[in-house]
Amino acid sequence: MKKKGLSPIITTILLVALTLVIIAIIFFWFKGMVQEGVTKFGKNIQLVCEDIEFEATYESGTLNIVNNGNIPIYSLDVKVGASGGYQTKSIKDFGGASAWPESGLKQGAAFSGSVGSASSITELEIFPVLIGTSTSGKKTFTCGGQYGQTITV
Amino acid sequence: MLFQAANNKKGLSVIIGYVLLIVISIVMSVIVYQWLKTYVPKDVASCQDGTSMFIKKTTYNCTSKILTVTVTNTGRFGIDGYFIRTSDTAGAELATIDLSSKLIGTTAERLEQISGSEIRFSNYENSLSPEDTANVHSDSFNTSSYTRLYKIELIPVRIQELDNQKRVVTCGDAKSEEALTCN
Repeated sequence: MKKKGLSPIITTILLVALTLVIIAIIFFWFKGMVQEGVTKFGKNIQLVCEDIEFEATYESGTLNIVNNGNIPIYSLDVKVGASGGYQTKSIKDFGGASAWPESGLKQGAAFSGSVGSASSITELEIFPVLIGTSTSGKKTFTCGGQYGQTITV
Repeated sequence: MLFQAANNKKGLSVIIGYVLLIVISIVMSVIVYQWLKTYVPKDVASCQDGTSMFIKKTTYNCTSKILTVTVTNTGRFGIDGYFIRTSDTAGAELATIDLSSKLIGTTAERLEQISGSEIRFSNYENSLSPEDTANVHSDSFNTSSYTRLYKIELIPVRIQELDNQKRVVTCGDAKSEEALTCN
């Protein structure tokens, strides 16, 4: 019986090509669904939070921060507790915090600045903010609760 | 008739099924690898345990506003330099004023040894060695910008190699501080 069909070589080539095309299509489609990773120093930025070392004090309306570690702190999120409520702001948004370096607090650097009226503040929670790299450029990341410091006034 | 219906089942060709399975496996493995790769712990820049620097002597002249600090290496590893901070508020917990820019340099070369906020001991890496008999170093600072200083904090700094790169590493655990009294 004379059966018609493709040559095995052509079939192999077509199968390989088809496989590669499908791989590419599914890859780019699935990649868009996965959350973009932010890295710093070649590792996930969440892991870098563990290496941050800083000290913070609040005296007479002035917040003092010292970076004793090897990770530059790009910014700080300050959660201010006053009059029964809380408000979270970036350190750069406080009027008296003009001394915060534009590129962040480097190794061994220190910062002092006012973060509000001393009489009304009851508690401060300070969370370090890092800047990392993602496929879409630089991105900031706020290190979660256990990496922050709480100051009770 | 039932037998014929059972034999007329439709489905994907076996080869196409294999192709799809392999494709999906490869794509999933590549995506998971790229995502998981960032969670692999890497060596971090951290100071060698056993690094220690001691403030041997401080002289603070409240009239001339000159502060002289003498340090010595009491650890097991060489130290490249230090960060120095001071406080002009009595009883302050943290010293936040960087004194590196106030270094009194006897030579232009000495002034060049300020790298950022770090005051290096020399142009050689980790030059304050514990083995040297003269492992003591003194620096003076002009503090005329401040009415009175109350404490200093020094943090030693080392140069260490990490991932084939030289890195400046802060030894925060080896911080030393001293209260200043007028001489």
